[in-house]
Amino acid sequence: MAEIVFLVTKIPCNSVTKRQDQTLNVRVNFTYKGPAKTGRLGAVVTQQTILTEFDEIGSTRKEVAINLPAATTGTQNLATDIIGLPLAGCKPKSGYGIKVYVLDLDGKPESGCLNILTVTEGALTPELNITSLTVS
Amino acid sequence: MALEDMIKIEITKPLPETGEAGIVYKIEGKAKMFGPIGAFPWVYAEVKKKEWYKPEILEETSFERGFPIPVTGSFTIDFKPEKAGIYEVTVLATPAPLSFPVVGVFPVTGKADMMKVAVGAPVEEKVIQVESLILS
Repeated sequence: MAEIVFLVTKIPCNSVTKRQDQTLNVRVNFTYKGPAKTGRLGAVVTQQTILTEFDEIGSTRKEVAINLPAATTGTQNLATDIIGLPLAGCKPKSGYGIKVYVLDLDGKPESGCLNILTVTEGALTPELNITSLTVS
Repeated sequence: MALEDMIKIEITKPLPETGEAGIVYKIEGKAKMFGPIGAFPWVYAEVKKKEWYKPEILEETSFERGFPIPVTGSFTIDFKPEKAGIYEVTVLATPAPLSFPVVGVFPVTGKADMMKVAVGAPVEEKVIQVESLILS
């Protein structure tokens, strides 16, 4: 069951480990009821601080446009992919969270989950060391 | 030339024929002067809520102020019907800005064709709820 803390609804999410030089893809499963609308769906990597559970790391933010088909009789299940959240701005550590938000609709519903992302150092830079020479 | 014909009002983005109460609709257009009449024309939308049982003099009439874009002669006007009903919207031009045109716009130096909008009651609530996320 969803739990509301600081106006961010906590929702289920899997855990992943990513390198700093990789990007994160987020599939957002959601329901919608209402007339046909266009809006925006955004995702951002977050970290816990003393002040807030979902402190946003702005460099990871990514938004996509969504077309919501009309559903006046019942809710409909929809999914949208937000591809390529850059992780270069995240320090290598565990415990990152993710927050998704909806824009251009009434209110600003926000959902997220904590401690689901571990970021490791980027791939090593290729380095060639000549250790010895043999002349003949 | 009649006073009402001194400014030609061209509507580039008219109102839709149908709408929803509580939603903001934008009218866009251009106002061009035909004769030397002084200051740049100010535009207003005269909004009449038509009710079949009321004589025209008792109709609800309001005025929405336009926002002129300097040099280009373009303008935009926001129209937000609060109640369901039939509205007749006419864009008017006047040579002087009126801060609060309660009684009416005078003198009218330009008049566009009337736009008729059938406004329905607000459609049911738009509810979007994020259920889960899948990270990859």
